[in-house]
Amino acid sequence: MLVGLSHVSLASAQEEWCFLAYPRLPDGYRFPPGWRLAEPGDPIDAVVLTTAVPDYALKIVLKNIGDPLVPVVSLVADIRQCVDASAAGEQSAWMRARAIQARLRELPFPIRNSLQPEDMLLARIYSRDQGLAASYDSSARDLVRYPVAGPLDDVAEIATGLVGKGYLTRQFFDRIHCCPQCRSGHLSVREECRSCRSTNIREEVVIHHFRCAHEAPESQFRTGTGFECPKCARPLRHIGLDYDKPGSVTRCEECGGIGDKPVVGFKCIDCDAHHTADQVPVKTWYSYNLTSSGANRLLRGEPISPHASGDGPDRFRILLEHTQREQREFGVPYQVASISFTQRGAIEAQNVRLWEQSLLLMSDALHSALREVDAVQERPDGFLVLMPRTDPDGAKRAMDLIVGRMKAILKIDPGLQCVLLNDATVRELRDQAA
Amino acid sequence: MVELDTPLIMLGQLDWLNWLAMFWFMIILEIPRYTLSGLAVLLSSLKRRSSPTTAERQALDRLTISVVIAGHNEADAIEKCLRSLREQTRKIDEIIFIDDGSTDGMREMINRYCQSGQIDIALSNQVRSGKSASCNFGFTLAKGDIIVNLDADCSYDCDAIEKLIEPFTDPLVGATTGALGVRNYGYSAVTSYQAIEYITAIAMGKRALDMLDLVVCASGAFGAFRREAINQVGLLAPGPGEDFDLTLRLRRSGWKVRFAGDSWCFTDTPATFKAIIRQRRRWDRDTTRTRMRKFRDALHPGRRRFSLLETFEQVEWLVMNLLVTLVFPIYVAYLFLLFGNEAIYILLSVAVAYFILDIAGFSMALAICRRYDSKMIVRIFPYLLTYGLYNGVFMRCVRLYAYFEEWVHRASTRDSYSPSRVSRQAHYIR
Ligand SMILES: [Zn+2]
Ligand SMILES: [Zn+2]
Ligand SMILES: [Zn+2]
Repeated sequence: MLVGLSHVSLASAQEEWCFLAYPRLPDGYRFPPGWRLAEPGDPIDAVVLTTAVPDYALKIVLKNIGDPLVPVVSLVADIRQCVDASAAGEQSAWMRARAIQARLRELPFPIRNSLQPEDMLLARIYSRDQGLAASYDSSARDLVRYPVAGPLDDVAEIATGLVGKGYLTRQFFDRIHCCPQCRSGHLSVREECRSCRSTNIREEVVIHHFRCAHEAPESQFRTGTGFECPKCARPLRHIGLDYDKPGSVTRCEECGGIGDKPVVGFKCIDCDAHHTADQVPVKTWYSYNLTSSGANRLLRGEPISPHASGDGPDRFRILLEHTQREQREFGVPYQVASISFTQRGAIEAQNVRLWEQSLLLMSDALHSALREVDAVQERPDGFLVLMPRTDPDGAKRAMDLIVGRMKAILKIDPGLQCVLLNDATVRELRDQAA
Repeated sequence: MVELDTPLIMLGQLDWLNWLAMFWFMIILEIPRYTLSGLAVLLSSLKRRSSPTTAERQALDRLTISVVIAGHNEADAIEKCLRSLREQTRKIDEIIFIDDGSTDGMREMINRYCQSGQIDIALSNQVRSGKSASCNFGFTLAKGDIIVNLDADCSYDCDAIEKLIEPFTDPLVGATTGALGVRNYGYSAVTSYQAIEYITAIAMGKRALDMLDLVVCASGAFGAFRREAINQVGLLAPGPGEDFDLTLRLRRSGWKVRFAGDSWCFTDTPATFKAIIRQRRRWDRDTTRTRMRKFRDALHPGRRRFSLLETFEQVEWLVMNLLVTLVFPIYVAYLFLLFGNEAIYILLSVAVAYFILDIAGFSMALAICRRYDSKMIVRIFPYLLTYGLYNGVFMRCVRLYAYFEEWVHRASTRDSYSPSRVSRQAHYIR
């Protein structure tokens, strides 16, 4: 540790690191060597918060700096999303700020200054040198936050896009129910009456009198002193011998309804709406890690085009290029089919697990029906299937087979649509990917 | 050819004393029963069944109806049962399902139906309590004026409940029961035999009994009870035989029990000889026990519960079921002792007589029921030829064995009908 520390200070002896302290540091505060207070016009390498700063003030400070990647450290405890280090001692705060800035300086100019959310997210993940880990946050509307993402919005959506491009991998974090009306995760889970949805319910034991086969809720058997059968007027003395308790009923104090079990319902604390369990969608949250291809992309300095949806230099693209060359030079036909699920959104909103299982099943069915020379690309809205050396009729037969197999194994109807793409569309796809 | 002719030639040469010596069993024990039934049926068909008047119909419409269905491991049957309930012409005010300690997911299933509004109350015993207790559980929570007790594994004609409650226009009627038909009549020989048996029993038996105001058992699979009446006499007693026991108690308290012959319920009957033997052994043991042990006093004049009609009814049952069954083997033995090998011919003629009676009875029954189509009749008619063997010999042997079991071993107390811990306690003190 000591060695590392001295190494860092030596290496950066020539460099000056400018920081902005907010509010200003007390007089005579000795900050570590290599740092200096930023003068007006200096680039800001780190923001150092010296006390608990209110949200709005911090926002103004960051806005004035205009750098979404700048490290923000606090010398006091501060657990807000955009603070990179706090509460671990002043020394470590300074070191953290320097480490982040050092990695930011590794980034090529176009990336370092890109305003694309995807670039910014990747750059933050890279510079903070830790994965994009999800954590619980009761103050967040959806109960989950990504500290590494700092001030960025819609982190999960951006990250999902990056996973699709191969720059991030994801690991399951949690599944959280959210209000179908306002998407809030602040839901109260309650046991309630089946008919009037009141939570004012009571469980009552059921008694079965062996001698006369009378079975009724316990309250009917209760007399002033003990238990007596309302049917045959005999006293109930001995459980297991005179009577037993085979079950229970739920009695509603509001509407008087009786049932076997209470039902589970959800009440949204934010918008006050009530929902039954089957109406409440579940959102799956993931933590993310940078892949080597993501890091390469960052360091090579090619900002991500906002419209690209290709999959990087993967098997599909290579095969597609090869096949197209074959067609140009030898006139060998090939086909690209697109299988899309029009119902994905609806099904996923209702039951994510069901959708994921179905997707796996469909993928299995697809691969089972294809030849080895065919290639598949998974896309958010379906599959692309490349079939080299195939004429349109052959492709249609193959598609019929695939769709037939998919339908046979699925419990749901994903709204399968299957079309053969024409050359122009395929070329467009390839250009996008490249 | 000769052998077939022989009994007929023999019959022609006999005087009436010889006839009696040979056929006393039929003449004394069977003919009166058939004649009696035939007469009752004739009477009932003469008396036109009137449909309710407008005032009566309005009174019927005011009655609220709770349907109570208790079952153990009947998850697969529920859908079919609910489907026929949805089709009912009579409005049902409340459907209560009780799962009695099922392990086949019945509890979850009825809760799901409850969720979707097809069942009003779903209840569950996590520990099995037996048919009587779980029905009682439903009865205590039912709010309707009339409680209709159904079985999950039966299905019902769409007007079954409407017809079933029609007799309640009479304020003295405490319970009604409907006609039971065989749903799987074409499945095997055994089910075809039972189809014939059920049709005959319902038309000739239950209708006749109803005509004479004798006891008809308000069945647990298909009965309706006035809530007031069953609350007065107490609900079901521990089984088995609890529906019959309740019927007798209702009658004892002055309530009438009526048979609604146009109200039809269909059920699957046992399809193999082994299964039907098991079922009948249980039924016969139950009936015997309820009759002989619990209502012995009906046969003792001077007791408080004595009534002439009840006694006649008990005697009738004693003679017609018990005596006929018990005497049959004696009769066969007697024939062989007295007539040697000729006994075979006599028995053959008895069989022929049974055959003729069966055909006559069955045709009459069909005419009265008017519920079965020609396809079904064609399907089961061939079995009528050997029905005498089934009913006269096979069933009689099963019944004999059951009586023997009940009397000697008191087997029904060890029945698996109720969980053993329940029946042990229920029969502990008698
Ligand atoms: Zn309620
Ligand atoms: Zn009791
Ligand atoms: Zn909400």
